[in-house]
Amino acid sequence: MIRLDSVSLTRGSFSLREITLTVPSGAYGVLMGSTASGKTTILEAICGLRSISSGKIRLDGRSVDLEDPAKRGVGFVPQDAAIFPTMTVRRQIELPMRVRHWRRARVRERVERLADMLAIEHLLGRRARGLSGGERQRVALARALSFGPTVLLLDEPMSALDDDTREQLYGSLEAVREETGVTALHVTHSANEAARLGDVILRLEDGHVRRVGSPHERPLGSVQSIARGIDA
Amino acid sequence: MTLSRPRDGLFHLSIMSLALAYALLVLLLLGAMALRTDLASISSILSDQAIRRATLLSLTTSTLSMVIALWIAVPTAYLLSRYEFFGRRLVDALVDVPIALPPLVVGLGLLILFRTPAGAFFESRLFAVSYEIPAIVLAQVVVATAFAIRTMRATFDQIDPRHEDVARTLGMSRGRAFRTITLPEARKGVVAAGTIAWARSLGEFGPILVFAGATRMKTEVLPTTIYLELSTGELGRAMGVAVLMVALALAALIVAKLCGATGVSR
Amino acid sequence: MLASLLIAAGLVVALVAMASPAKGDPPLRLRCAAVLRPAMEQITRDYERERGVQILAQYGGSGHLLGGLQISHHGDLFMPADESYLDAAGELVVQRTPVVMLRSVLAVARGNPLGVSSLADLSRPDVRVGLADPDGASIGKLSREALQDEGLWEHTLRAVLVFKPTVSEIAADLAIGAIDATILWNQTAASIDAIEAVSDPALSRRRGVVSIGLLRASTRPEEAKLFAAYVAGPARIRFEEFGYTLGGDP
Repeated sequence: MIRLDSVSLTRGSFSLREITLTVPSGAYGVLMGSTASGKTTILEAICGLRSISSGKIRLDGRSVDLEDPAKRGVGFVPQDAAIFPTMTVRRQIELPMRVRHWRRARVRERVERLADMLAIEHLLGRRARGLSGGERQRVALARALSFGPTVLLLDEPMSALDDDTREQLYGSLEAVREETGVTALHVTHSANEAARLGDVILRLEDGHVRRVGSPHERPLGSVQSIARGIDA
Repeated sequence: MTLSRPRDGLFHLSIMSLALAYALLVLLLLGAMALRTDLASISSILSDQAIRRATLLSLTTSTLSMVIALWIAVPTAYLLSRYEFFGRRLVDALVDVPIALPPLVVGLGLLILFRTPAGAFFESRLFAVSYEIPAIVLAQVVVATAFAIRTMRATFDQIDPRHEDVARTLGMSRGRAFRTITLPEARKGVVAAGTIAWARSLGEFGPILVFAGATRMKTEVLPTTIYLELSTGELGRAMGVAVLMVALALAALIVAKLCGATGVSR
Repeated sequence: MLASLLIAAGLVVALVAMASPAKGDPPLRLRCAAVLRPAMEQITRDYERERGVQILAQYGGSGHLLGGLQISHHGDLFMPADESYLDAAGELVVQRTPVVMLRSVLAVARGNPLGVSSLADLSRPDVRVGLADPDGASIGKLSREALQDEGLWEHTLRAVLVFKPTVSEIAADLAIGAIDATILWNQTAASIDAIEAVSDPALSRRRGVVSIGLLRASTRPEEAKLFAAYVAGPARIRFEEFGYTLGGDP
């Protein structure tokens, strides 16, 4: 579960005040809002890259306000994917697991499963250079999910993609939702994405978050029962 | 990019002629030096014991100074590039000062520093610096570090901090993210900073003359040799040593280019 | 990163090995004018061989050496090109011994293509003139005095193209051909093939006296005195070999 209670923060002349939102466990939340409305800032606050001046952030009931980003266990896919240029795709997917001292065999198995799920097996030996926009997003997704986080944050993953690639990424994101049961918060300005992916749709307007509704009305219980399929 | 489009002809002509003019100037300068050098003086300097030792001392001190300069410059430049803190502007300005100071002033400052009570205490308790080999290294490090910081600063400014942010969300501490993500990305910059630090150290003269002296067989480095030979009218030998230095510098620049080329380009 | 530390450690070891002093007594430290280097290098080698005492000489411009001395109070002996620097060193110098005279000459390119024959020719418009710094180098100071005595200083000053801090640097400029004429120590002019000396009576009257001074800072004054006596005594023959003028000569 992702839960923000009256979170405020200031960054230069820009500020967010009293943001409150909830994404239930295992649900796919979509946060909509116009450009520069502060959507990215909210994601950065959740994963700990930006400190908040007041309020409370809880992930799965645990208060994380004072925790370092490394300890929060949040998978983050930034807008430009931020693929590390100096290492191969395989290496950067392995990295979060190596940091946690996973056994070699477990790391290898995990990389194979993620590569299969996101259709990036053929990219594992490549470097960032020459990857297409869609490939970069899927690699970043595999990297963010590799250590089995319970919370996944995505920052406009579709924004720079053409229609075909976008369709492919929809497939990948649906696979993630079905197979991992991770609680996701997906930021976008596209109503289409929200309609296709969102269990919970939120809208950020004038510094306030409002729940729009849930078009699928997918029973949350069933999502949770599918969950843990790939969970570490 | 190729230089073919006719519309851009004037532009290409002007940038090419400026580049060629400068390259030609450097070439002419080297050629003029070669004209003043004869084989006899080259062979006489190569067999001279004092000059052989000066060469060894020059290479050893410049390399050590380069390593020290990088160990200071990389963290300092990273700090200045990534963090906001009280006094940052002041530190930023201070680390540029050795670039602007006249070389003699750097040497004089160091000499005076080691005559202060603190400096004298250091020399009496630990080891002598003024007029000894440590003075050469210290004088080189002071100047080389300033240039290395400039280069590394530009490098870190160009590297997207987002990569480190993401690495931190993946479970890495700041230190580990720096080592595994940022430093490898900065590889070319590190090679460039190392090259400039080494070259500056090899060619440094003024501060060394004042702070380390020009003692034969003791604190004599190659620029000192040139000065000593020139000061006794041995123009031919001075030019011979100069040619030797040019050869060393070229060799080092080629090695650096090869190191940089094997790095990952972004 | 680890590799760089290992390299650094190796280099430090190499430098310590290079710096480790020879067995026996520590060497005497001498600050010596660059113009005296050819003879003094030979003399220090002789002394080391004959008496087993090592001399570490630092060569440079007299004023420069004096500056370093005034800041650091370090060393055993000081041998500037001109006694005025020993005067300027004041109480830093406790004893001085005269060694050799330096004569000044007009210096031109070999063959004297412009036919420079006297101090008056230095203000000729077709002659490019450079001089050693009158305030920093002893030969510069001497040049100014000689020209003032002849009433030529104001004139020459207007014609001077460049001043250089030491006699060696202005000599190098002449050897390269960047200037046509200057005033040098006879010894400096004689040591450079490309340079020819022209004597002018007004210059011949002026000499620099080189003395070796014992420094108050000396840690081994008795040893240092012995070396000073050697330089002023048995070693004078070396100065003659290298073309210096001994104190008694006209």
